[in-house]
Amino acid sequence: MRSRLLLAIVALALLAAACGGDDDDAGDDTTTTTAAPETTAAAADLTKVALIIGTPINDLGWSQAGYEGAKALADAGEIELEVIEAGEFETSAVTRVLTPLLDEGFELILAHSFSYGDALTEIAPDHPDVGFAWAGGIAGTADNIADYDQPFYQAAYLAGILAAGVTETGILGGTAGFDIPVCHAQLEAFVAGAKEILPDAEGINIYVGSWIDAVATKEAALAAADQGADVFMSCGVPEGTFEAVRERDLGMFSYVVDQSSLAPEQTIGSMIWDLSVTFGKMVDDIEGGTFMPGKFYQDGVTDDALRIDLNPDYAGEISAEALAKYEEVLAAIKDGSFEVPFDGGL
Amino acid sequence: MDWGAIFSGAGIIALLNAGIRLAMPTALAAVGETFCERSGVLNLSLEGMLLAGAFTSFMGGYYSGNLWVGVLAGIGGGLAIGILMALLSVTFKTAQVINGIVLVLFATGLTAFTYNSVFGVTTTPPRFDSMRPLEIPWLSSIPGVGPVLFEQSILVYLSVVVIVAVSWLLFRTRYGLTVRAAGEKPTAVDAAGVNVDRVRWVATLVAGAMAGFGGAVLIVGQLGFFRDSITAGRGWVAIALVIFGRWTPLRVFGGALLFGMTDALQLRIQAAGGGIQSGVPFEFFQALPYLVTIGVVIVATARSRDDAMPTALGETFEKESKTKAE
Repeated sequence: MRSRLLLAIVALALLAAACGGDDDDAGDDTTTTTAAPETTAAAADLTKVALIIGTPINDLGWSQAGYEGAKALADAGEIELEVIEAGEFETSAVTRVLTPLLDEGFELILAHSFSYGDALTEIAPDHPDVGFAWAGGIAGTADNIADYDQPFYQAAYLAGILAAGVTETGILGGTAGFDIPVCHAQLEAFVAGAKEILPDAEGINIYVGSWIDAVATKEAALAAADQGADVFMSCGVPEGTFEAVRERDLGMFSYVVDQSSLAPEQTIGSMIWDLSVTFGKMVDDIEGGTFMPGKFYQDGVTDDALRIDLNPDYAGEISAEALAKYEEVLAAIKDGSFEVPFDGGL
Repeated sequence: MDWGAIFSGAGIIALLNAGIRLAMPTALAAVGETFCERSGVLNLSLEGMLLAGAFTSFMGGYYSGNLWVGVLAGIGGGLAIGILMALLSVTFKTAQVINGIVLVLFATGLTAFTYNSVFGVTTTPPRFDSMRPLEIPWLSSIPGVGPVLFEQSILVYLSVVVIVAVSWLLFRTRYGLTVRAAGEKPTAVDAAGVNVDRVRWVATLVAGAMAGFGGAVLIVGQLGFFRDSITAGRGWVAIALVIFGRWTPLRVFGGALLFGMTDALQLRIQAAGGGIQSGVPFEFFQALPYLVTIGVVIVATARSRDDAMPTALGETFEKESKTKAE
């Protein structure tokens, strides 16, 4: 019987350790990153903003883009920022993380994931004075819920033009976790952009079926490479893709943030999502009392929320024709004379 | 769609290569699990073993700069979960199913937490160059089979050796007979004077070591970096493959290869433009490996009359004398 008791204790301890690991995560992160200027006289006047992200702030992707955008505002002294790494995407868990914040006087809650939409819908009506925003990209707004778009396809079109100035096969490769409109449009625009220079350009786009399976992603990219793709772009699964690109010494564009550290010699450029633009507009709206009813913020290339940063070490390898076309189309997008076609699939 | 791109000579070779790469980590875990289940321990912690192995192999490889240290560390990581599993399931005799699930949660949380604690906030994620394929001289130049069988990472060859060795151990040695008996009729093993618990301990450690090796193949042999939950459910697929292979190591290995090949094929079908442009939802292609595997299981079980599942699978063994003493 004694061993039974012992085992029960061990099992409980393990269970606690397993669950405790998660709690530690959340607890830690709640307190780690307060990026606000600590005590300035104006602190009291600054808009109090909380950013909720599902993965670490240094995920070299989606969450990092959100963090860098919000941090830029905090560093500029415009907001008082708290970053909460929820480590979760389930609605009930996110609700649990969000609820305590609402007693702390936050004026704007940035829920930086599509998956957080349901949690906001649950919570927001009970807190009409707080502004909420989520990365829906589907105009999913309510009285105090704003939505912000991710028009990656606009920058991907520009990347496609540059890719056409690099590719030897005329075949571009694209990887994404799932076939969702944001990704579908991005990868299709990448090929469409290449056709500005190479009318016969083809795209091999593969949907891996997972956002986390880097091995499957690498294999997907290798499959595309085996069939001739030599310049890549990824929507949401860049790491495995970069690994394949590095192994085969091909070319690639970063996704959302500068990921050139993953393959310094193979990175042609980076599609940068500068969320300080959109978050800044929201903060202005909160301060000006115009946040409600919630808007659908659609900031793209025109607003400098999306841009392509070229890798200086790679610039010499892009054809002059492609670089000229890139500048031309960029200017046309900005002055409104050209609109990048959106193909979200279905 | 362009089937030629997939089924040309070069296309087939690339496909088979990819299939073997995709299959190997799962195959190692599945064959280890087969050995373990044959002894009567239903080890559901397999995903945790793989993940722990992936994590420790990354840490070992990253800090030592030596890929072989990474491989050994990976085996150690899987063994660590194996020790916990054996301690709970064999020594303390708690419910095996629960132990397994708890250990998966434990490994998931612990690896993610440790990785984040160690590497903290950095925009340059730590990585190392994974092992490059090794071309076996002469053999790799055989047309057709050469590039498929003899241009793999050395870890792939080692995996095959380990898998064949485990199969031989289980069916061609006295010890293997004891292991199988412990899973079929532990009382008989006990009556023959063999310590059932010790046999099950060893079998659980074999599963841990092999799954840990599988995690190392994933990281050291393919990726060179670690992310939370990087094994992405391969351990659960491996458990299904044990049933698929009817608790026979080589059949389980065959199942893993079939699964890996179908997975490689579906990625290539998508790449050949048949996927998205054809209007067939890409989810169909992703389901393909599972559909094929389920199909084969149905055919295989319908045809065989014998019940291959170890009779005492999942049951803890209590010595009779002990029970009487209580």
